[in-house]
Amino acid sequence: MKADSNSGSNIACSVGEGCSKYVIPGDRLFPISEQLKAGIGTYELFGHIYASLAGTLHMYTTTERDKETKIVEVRRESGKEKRHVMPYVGCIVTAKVQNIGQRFAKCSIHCVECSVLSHEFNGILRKEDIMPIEKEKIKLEQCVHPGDVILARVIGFGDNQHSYLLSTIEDELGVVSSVGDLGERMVPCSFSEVKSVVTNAREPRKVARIPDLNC
Amino acid sequence: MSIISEHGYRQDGRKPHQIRNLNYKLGVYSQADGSAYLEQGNTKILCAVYGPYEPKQRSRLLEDRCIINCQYSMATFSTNERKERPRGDRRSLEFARLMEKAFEAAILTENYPRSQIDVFCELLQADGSHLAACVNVGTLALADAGVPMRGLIAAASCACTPDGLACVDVNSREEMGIIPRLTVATISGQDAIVLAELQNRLHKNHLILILEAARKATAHVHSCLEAAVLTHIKAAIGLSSTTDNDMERDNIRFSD
Repeated sequence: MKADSNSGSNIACSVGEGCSKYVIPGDRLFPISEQLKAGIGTYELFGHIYASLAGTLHMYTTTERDKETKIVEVRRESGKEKRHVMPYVGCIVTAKVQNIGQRFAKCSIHCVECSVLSHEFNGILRKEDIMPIEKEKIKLEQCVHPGDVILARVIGFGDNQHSYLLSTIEDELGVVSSVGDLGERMVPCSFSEVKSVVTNAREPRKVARIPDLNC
Repeated sequence: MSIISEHGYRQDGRKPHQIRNLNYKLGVYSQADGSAYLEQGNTKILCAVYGPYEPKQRSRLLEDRCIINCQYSMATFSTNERKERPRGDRRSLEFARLMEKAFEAAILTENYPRSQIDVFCELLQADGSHLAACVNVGTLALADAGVPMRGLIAAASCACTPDGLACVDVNSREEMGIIPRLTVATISGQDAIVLAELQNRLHKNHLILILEAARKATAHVHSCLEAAVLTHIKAAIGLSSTTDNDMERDNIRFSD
């Protein structure tokens, strides 16, 4: 195979294919300027923006303090949805409670916003991060139970436990599904209770206030 | 017996600066996050990438970046004589450590703190240039997994004849005895060398010659890897983003 070697600067267009929007890692996209910023899938090096992912090139415009800025992104999937591979501070995750203790509940993180993770990550839900009331008034077993599916926000890293710190203080965060004593599903029936679909038994939970969910 | 005949050709009919034929397939495994299969001449390698995920061993965890873990193994049927120990011998551990250092230099590890990326390479058929082919298939699998990298790593090997002539992409019959062999990996086929391995003794005047020849060979290999990744993402993304391409056509501006 006769290889056409770009020993000079790599351009975003593939040689011989016209102007293509597909880029591979290492392609030089644009020089860094006041109006151009590197977004997802790109990095800056020596005054230029390079692609760090293989995918399609996207550009959009944002306005920050009366100043228009273009952001360059490289996305692997089509459309506007973004794919996450691991949690980051500030994102909303879907987690399942594994076990509860005196001061915190251990969870496993399964989704980041709309993306299902390929691998689970550990999370810690501390007692003081469940409800916006005093710490002494919270009873952990009345907020979450093992087997619950919760929506939470990542607020940091637990330094000594190598886990993500989760928080359900906001109204929209909390339990969205639960498991009863017989293994049946329990659905939210109010802002503080879940109800079994089989026996109609009620248990207290910190329920997420999602309009479509609390019916 | 020499590598090059008196007419200037090698035993398989190549010129000294020509690389072997590259065949590839990305996305071989559905259960892995990224996978690739590569044939470089008659050297055939499978690679699977898992991660970033949470490491099981707490002691290896790094607070500011992710850990790259590589494993290299040869199948028992990959060589002429059946190999009793597929992995764990000194040479496979050496290859794994060299690949780890090469991928650490290219992957943007600071994007994934406290996590780990695993790269598993399995040699199916051995015909020389194993380390270079492993690095090439690893970078294809990492691109398939969507791990951000500074560029595709392209690797090539180079042998030096006693009279100072460089032959790139050596096969198993050229990997013999006391022939000095150099394996070099660069980012995007340019001058950033992320892996260098030299076997046997070499005159220092010949080192610059085979370094330059190996770097040119990595540029050729990078063109093949670039075509492989472009073909794969067009097949994966192109079918479902026809409408987006038409809508965003006017937004794309290219300037150099």
